[in-house]
Amino acid sequence: MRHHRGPHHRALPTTLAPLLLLGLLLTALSATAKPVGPRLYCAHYPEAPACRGFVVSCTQCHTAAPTLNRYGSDVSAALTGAYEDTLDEALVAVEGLDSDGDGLTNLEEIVLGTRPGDATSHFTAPAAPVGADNPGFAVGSYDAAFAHRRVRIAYCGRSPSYDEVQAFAQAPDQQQALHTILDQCLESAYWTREGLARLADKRIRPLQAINVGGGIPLADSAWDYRLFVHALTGDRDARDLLRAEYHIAADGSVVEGVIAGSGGDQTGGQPVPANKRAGMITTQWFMMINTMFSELPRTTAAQAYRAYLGQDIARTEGLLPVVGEPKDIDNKGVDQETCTFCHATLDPLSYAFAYYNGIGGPGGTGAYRANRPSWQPSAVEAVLLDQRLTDIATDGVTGWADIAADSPLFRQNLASMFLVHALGRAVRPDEFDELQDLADRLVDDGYQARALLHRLIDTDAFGVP
Amino acid sequence: MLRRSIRTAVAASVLAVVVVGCPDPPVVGEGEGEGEGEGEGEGEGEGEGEPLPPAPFAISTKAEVAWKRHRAVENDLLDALALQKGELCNELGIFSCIDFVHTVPLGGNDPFVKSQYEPLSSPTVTSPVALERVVLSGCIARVDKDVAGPAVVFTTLALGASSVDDTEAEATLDLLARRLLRRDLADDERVRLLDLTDDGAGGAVSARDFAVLACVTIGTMAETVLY
Repeated sequence: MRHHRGPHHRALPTTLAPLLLLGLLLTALSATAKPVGPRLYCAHYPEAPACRGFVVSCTQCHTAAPTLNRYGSDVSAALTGAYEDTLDEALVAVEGLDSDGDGLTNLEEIVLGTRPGDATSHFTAPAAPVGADNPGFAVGSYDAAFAHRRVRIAYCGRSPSYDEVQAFAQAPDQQQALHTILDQCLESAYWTREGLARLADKRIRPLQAINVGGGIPLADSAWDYRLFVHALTGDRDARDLLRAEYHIAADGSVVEGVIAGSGGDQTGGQPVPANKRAGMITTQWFMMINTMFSELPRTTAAQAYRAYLGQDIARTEGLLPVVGEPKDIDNKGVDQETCTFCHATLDPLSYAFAYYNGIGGPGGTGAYRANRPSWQPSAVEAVLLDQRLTDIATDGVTGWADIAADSPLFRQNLASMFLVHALGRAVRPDEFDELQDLADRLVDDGYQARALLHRLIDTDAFGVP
Repeated sequence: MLRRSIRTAVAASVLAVVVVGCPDPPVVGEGEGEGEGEGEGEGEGEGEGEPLPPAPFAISTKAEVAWKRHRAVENDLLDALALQKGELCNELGIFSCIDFVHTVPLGGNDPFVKSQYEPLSSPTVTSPVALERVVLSGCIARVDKDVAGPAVVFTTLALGASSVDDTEAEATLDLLARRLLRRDLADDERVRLLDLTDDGAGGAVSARDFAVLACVTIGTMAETVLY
């Protein structure tokens, strides 16, 4: 029987039909995206490198959530009942498979720290070198001469001279000599003015056009660079990256309190009082470049999470959804099903940042204002790493920063930043233990970046060619 | 042509020692990257190209070569050639090749103007060209200054001479190797580099040209930028 369409009914344009189909498909697939999955996965594999100190990225099972990769598909197919109830069994059931066909079983990849659903992610430990002695390198064992060159290039910004190479070769205790050279390099103009600054770039995200001195000056990122370098040099506590109540002036002196800028927006100054300061994540530049005009500055929170805890929500990392979130407190529609995947974590991260201006506003760009949010403080609960923040209206971001600075993620992010820089490449699975050790030892070393670097140059990852 | 073939041959021989062999890179890792090489993203790709012949000694199975970035390249050249920063490769005589023109292919990044917050993880197809330009510029600047006198680097050459004898040439090569490579030349390297005294058609190369050729040839060997 044919249904008669009235004069106002038209057939769907052919271009819309595929879109409708895609929408239906995505709706169906969304049922397989499980924000609780990372937590359950790491409860099952707590010792897996991907779970150390935190939860695994969604990319373990998804290409781009909610779409499953081949490993995720195998796990999904092995579920025999409700997801939360049968995931453990399903994970075990597929351990012996090689879902991505890269030659390693899923369990082998989980133990190594590569992704079992991604054929381009695999690892085979290097074999031991064989043959006569290499004339240039102590291959397969710690090579002090090799490490010497690396130290000079990485931290002094130059290779050792011929005379320095010869002198090092004659040093009675090469390892001690190496540490002496490292100390010299860490005080060098290269490291304190350029080397560390380049590590700060993606955390500060400067932009000349809107920097002081640019065409449309809105803030001065030089304050941020100076604080970054200050916190990571000398014998200072690297947690000052998130906890500093002070700023560093151009002459290197420590400056406390509010710093006046120019005009009503206090451009180029630092309008946040010391008791609302939280290091790098409450500077005028940080609030300006990230918050801009947002009432609920999700970008600001996401950047703080990414830059100092190493969790990139845009890559589905660090998802710890909070029950009842997102509340969509600013009416942006983030409570739709496809948005909750990230926003159940992101929005609770962001509430504390809502008390700081973005561009402009009473008190100036980046200023703290207890009444800035349009909602009541009791309407939301700020949460970071499963810990609830108390009284964000009074404390601002400082509580957020305290939790973050003492977390294993902060230590891992710092150790990873320095190790990757030193190696000039990603850390390999057989180096994960050394990376973890570097992170763990930060506590014993009072969170000194200098101490971390001294440990780093002694690692096999750094010194074994 | 001669210059190119010599350089290629020398670079290949040195690479075999310096790189300590990478017959089959076994790793495809994951994770972050930072700073000078800090670039976030996936790990190394599988190696391509002809496998190296078996080495007569143990070679590294880590297959690891680091990229010496723009600032270290600059500092090393300035130190080796006793030049000031402004004397090394400037576009139109104004813009520093290191700081502006070739920053990215030489391994740097420009966060302020280009919003490029991380450097490239590995050299690009233009990296060798950029390096050659910078080294050539530095070598010519040094030779010109030494010709004007007093000589600082090319002290073992009569730079106004129309030819170079082997003794002078060897002394110059040894001196350049210590300055640019920070090591002594191997005997076979020295022998091959001595070909630079000949223009390939039986004619002599002037001392000035030899100085530039030797400087560029040694200064662009693989180990000056990979370690």
